Amino acid sequence: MVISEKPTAAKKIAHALDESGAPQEIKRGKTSYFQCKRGANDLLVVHALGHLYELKQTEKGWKYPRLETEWVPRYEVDKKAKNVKPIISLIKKLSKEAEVFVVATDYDIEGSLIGYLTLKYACRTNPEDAQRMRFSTLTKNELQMAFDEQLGGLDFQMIESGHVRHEIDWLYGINLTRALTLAIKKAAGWFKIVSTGRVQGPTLTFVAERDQEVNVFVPLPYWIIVANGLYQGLELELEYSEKRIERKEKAEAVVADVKGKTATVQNVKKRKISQPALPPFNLSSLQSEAYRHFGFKPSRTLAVAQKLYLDALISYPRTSSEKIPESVDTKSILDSLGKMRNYKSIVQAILDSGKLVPRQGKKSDPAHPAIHPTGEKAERRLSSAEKKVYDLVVRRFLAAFGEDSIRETIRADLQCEEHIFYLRGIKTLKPGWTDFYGEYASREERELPRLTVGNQLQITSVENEEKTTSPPARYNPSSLLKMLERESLGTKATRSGIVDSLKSRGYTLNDRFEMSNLGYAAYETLQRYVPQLLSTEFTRGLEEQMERIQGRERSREQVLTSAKNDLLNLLESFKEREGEIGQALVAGLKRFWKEKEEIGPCPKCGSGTLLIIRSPKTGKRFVGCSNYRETGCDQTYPLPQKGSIQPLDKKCEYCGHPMLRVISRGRSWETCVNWADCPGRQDDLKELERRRKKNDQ
Amino acid sequence: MTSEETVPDDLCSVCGRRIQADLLCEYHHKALQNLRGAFNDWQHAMAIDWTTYLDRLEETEGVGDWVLEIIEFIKSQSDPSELTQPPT
Repeated sequence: MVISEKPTAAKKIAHALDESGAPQEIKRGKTSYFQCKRGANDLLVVHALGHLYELKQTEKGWKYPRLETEWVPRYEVDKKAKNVKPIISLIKKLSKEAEVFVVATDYDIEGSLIGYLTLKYACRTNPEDAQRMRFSTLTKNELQMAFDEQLGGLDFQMIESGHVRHEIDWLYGINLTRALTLAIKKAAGWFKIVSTGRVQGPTLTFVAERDQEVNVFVPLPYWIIVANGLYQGLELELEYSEKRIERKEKAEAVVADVKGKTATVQNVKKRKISQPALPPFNLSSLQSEAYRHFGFKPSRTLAVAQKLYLDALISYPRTSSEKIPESVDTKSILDSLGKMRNYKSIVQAILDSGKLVPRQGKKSDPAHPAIHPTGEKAERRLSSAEKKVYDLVVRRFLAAFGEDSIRETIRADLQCEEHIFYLRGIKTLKPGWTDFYGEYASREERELPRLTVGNQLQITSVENEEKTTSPPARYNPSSLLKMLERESLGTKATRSGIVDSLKSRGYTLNDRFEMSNLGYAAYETLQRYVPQLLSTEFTRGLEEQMERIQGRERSREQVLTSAKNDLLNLLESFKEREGEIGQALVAGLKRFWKEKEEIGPCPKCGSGTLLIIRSPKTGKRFVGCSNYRETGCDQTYPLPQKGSIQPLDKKCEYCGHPMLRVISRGRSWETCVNWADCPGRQDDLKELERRRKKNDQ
Repeated sequence: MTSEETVPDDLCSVCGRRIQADLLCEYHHKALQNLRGAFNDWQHAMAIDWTTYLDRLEETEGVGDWVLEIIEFIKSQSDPSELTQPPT
């Protein structure tokens, strides 16, 4: 029995291992498996669906602390995972006939654990007797080689490390979320889940600290000199030697000094810059580059790359490596890519150059090489996102074979009165690898006319421009992911999910990682009462302990016992101050709900506040005035009944009413609270009416 | 909260968080410190008085939300106090 991780992988493996290349797919209810023949072996290829088993507490009750767990089928703890039940039943049934078990899940911590748990609980066999296929691509050749020549035992260090990671994440996530949630319940009687986790705490801290810097930022003024000069009929942009002038008086003096004057070239400096090719992608550099070029969130890039991997188009994406080892047959990959129209000319240029060794990066990964194309052709039509990520991976791989790119920068220094101006130019002398990387390489060109010492430019325009300094940039999904990587928090497989979780839990408001009042409520409470949970050092310490298991320096039991003791201490001190913690969270929640419900001042009575209200009779939502009960102000506005509504801190440009953002069915738009009567929105209303009628027909 | 409600004494006059100093929470107190500190830099850069400075900031891009709330708070105070006056 060959156990794969997903249905698509099972299909690929079965087709690769069956001698005739046509395995028989046998349907059993809502699932299926493959039968194939290889030499003297009759193979059953079954699949999991990611994790089939999850941790569950052994003691009853939605309480804390809960420290003892057991592995149970996933559908027992996740009601949505009903599809796992027939898969487990099928594996249980088929395993009775199997003599030898081969784990063919992804070769990483999670894949190894999935294989181990499936063997132990579904197949009920001893995992120590099982064998392991190790591969980095789902291509026929590699899968056959992994099965025929490279079978070995399971990697128990990797499994133990994954095992303890799940246990510790469960212990911290479940117990601390319950502690926070029950503190609110005791303080106010509300049941509002406020979650935190081992890595989520430090991640929230990064975002909160940046958000605070932005919120207390006061810009400072400065001035720049904007000047142009005329040289041989060419209008050239001059750069003043002082990038920022801190006093207005001084900026005005510069303008007065050089207006209408002539600048003389004092010297011309040229410098050649050699830029070596970028190394092939690992997961984090792929996520970063996909965000830069396509705006894809890291989690989306990972999902797309995973699909490309399952289609055997690229190698395994969850890798830290920037190296392509000799074992990867780059010549054959190049030959295959050379048959594709988009890459034909690049491959030909590489083959002509004779340099068939790609540039290697510094980072390595013992389990997998850098992400690279397999050269296989897609057997289905790729989605637009898949095409983009695939093209990026291929071009980065091809670029790694390119020569250095040589560029020349030129700076001419010009004097006008006692002031120095610069003229800057940049040009590419030899594109090298940038030609292969195509539009993903930045190649700014600025040509300068030939200039020599003594040449003169007539200043044609000069003025000072007032500017102000900018606040530090907020995190975006890509920069936050990089921060987690730099701080060694989480794993390459879990980081993008952690980044997404801040938004899905309401702690941040948008992809710019602006903290919500709920985020602050959780952050401030943890900071005050359990600061270890926000500490990078504490979480990193746990990560290091878990890594030591893989290096055989510590046992799973040692690490788990120590983590449980730490957690127990935390929970004890939490319980002692549960009342205070609950009050602090309730106060934060009140601010959060206020932020979500308050639209702005009531235009009718002037003293009330417009609020989003849900009618107790009809359940429909609308905007009403907070003074309705006290003074009888009956100002109301209708609201869309579907989607979520966020009050915005701005006024309508047509009618002056407060603005809202509506997010519904994957679309987001801004409108004013007075949208039904707003003079500037009547055309939109007509268009909406027209579309409704069309849909009704 | 309507405009007629008053903020309890131990809570920040701007946001209702726990007070740290000068009747403000740690965030709005930091915003006030930055606002006052930056006034010296603005005065060094150009001739500007406290009121014009506050008005200018309200129209300047990049001013932090808590700083804007502090400016609004300062402007809403009818009695001049050390808190609302320019640094000396």
